Amino acid sequence: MISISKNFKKPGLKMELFLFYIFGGIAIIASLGLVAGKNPVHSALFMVVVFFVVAALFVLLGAEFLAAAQILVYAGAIMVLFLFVIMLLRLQKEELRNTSRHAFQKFFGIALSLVFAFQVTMIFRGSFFKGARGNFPPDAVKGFGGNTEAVAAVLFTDYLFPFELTSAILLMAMVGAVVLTKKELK
Amino acid sequence: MATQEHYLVLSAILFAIGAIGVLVRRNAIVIFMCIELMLNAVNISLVAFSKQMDSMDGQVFVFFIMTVAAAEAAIGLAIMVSLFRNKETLNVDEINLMKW
Repeated sequence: MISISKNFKKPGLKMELFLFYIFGGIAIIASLGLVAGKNPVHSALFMVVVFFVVAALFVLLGAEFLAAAQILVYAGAIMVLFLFVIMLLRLQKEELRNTSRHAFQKFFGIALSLVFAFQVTMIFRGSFFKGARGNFPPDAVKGFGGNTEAVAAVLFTDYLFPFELTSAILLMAMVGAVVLTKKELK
Repeated sequence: MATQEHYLVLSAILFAIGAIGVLVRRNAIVIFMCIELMLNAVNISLVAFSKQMDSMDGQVFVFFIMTVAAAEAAIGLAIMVSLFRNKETLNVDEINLMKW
């Protein structure tokens, strides 16, 4: 594993590890709060914390464009949507008559998820993530002018058709949302 | 120096917490938020791989995942609004219309 993590092993990056542990710890605590919170509004606010911390992790990984997009799209658009729906639907009363009918659901859900996390962690500890290097080592990204330019260079050449398709997906989502929430179809 | 392993393990932990939420919680909106959390966990691992492999493809994938997540949030919340209008509940144990 050590031999293939060259990009992560630059001198003078102790600070990065420190920041990683801080942000990672906040992410885990906030996501536990999201799962355990009784009030859906509290869950949504914990979700905002998770989104911001993930954006900070993207910055640590050198993906500044995605960090900005994460804050704009997730923390900006999606969370507002969630909070609007939660507050429109009077969900506080919902939680009170929240009775799980399946006896061992909590136990099995938590146990299976922990087993899953353990297994994935064991996989990640292996060292078989070797492969051909791509065209974007840190120097090449710098040559492009930055992370955003490098993403754009790939996005608008190799991935141009999928990029155009996303516009169709967003249009369908917009039409679908309008149709679904309409009172009655004529 | 946070290695790729650090990010991948954090991603696995966040994904598992999201999975716990999906399996344990009964409120449809909270389940939906946990799904978004799982998407975010996968995004972290994709960006970590992108850095490890000197490639931009992982970051472009994350960009597409964000687009699909936005569309999914809009559609899913619209479904929940119309569900609440019809059944007056978002408890997934009571929404059993399609169960045999």
